[in-house]
Amino acid sequence: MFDHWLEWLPQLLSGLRTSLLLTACVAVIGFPLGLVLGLLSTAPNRAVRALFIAFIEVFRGIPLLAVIYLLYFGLPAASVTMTAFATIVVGHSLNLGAYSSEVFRAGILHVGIGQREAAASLGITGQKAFFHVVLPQAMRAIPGPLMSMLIMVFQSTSLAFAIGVSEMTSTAFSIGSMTFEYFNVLVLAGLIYAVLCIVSARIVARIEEKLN
Amino acid sequence: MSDFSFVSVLQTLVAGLGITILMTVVSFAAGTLLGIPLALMRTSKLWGVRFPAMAVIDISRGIPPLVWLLIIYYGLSPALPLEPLPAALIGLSIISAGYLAENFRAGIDNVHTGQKEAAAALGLTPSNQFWRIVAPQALNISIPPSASYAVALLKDTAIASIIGVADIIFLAQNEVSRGGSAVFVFAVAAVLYLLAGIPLSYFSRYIDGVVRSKVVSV
Repeated sequence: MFDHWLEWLPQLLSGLRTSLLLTACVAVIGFPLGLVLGLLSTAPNRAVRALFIAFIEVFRGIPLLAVIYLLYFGLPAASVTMTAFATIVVGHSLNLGAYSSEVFRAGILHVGIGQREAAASLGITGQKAFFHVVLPQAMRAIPGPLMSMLIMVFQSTSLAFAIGVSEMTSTAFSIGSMTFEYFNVLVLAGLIYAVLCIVSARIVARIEEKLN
Repeated sequence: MSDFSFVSVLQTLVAGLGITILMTVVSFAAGTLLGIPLALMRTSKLWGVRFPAMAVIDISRGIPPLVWLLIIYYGLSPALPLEPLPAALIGLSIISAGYLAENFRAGIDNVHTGQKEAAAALGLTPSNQFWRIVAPQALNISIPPSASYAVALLKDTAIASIIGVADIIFLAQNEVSRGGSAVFVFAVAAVLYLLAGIPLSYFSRYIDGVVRSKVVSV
């Protein structure tokens, strides 16, 4: 069973590079989107708040695969065509934005009213209070959950298989279809995912302990 | 002439809703049955019992769901040829078992130490301490995260369409390949998932409130 593993490893690792690149792109777009959505969903204006909470709930309620298909097969009708790679990045970023907004929002709400009042009594109000008092404290509560989300993003970049981006899962599958050794090569790919996820989850747990 | 009116698309996709719900319910139930013994083993004091459970839990959660389904459907087919639906059910059950076992374990760990000490101080046997004092509270603590997991599982079942299970997404793809507008058809599919998820999310929020008021936790 193991004799082909070394032979396949270089191809799988090159697929892994694409998986990691996808994950990085999603983090770069998804987290800022999540921060913006988190802020807007705590906005003082009720209509703005409702609109963005609805947006978040919709993207949290729909399977990511449905979002990806909608973008990939639906947008060309509106004369917008994206490569499969870009579709995966956009779909995952919308999803990550919606999920991480909850973390940002909880982080912001977590900073008690007392802190805002203390800032106000010192004459620090409005935007200044938000950016200098609330946000820095909120930022301390959120790295752990965000890093765990990123591990989930890395796993779910395997959905790119469905629209033919040659990341690790697609690479493993195409090796399988050429050699008819689906089991061997998919198990190898699965173990690479598992090892990376388990190790990074342990690191995240360690960091979370330190932050607390 | 194909008919792609809202009603016709909805009728087609609703046929897949049943399969989506079936996959969610069956794999959640199987995941619970497998997850409880895994969590018990995972919290054992014996390394030889704890380690294998930890390995199973980590691997079930570490391999992406799609890769699990591909391994079971394509990888096992020479030895154990399965139809898409049973393959998806097996894969989703393995994954659920891992996630639910972690919820149960966290439940056991989060029962307040004072409760265990009080039980010991009252002279309960170790087995009674666990089954009568710790386990009922641990179960309560693990219900809210497990209810939110059910919502996540409902959405995760969509990947079964990739190995050919005729769920909502699969039927939606069929409609699109027959000439339906992709935006419209997938939007209808999305609405069905949202509708199916609402009772689950509502329940999960409700139970969270109930449990918070009942449990002494760390």
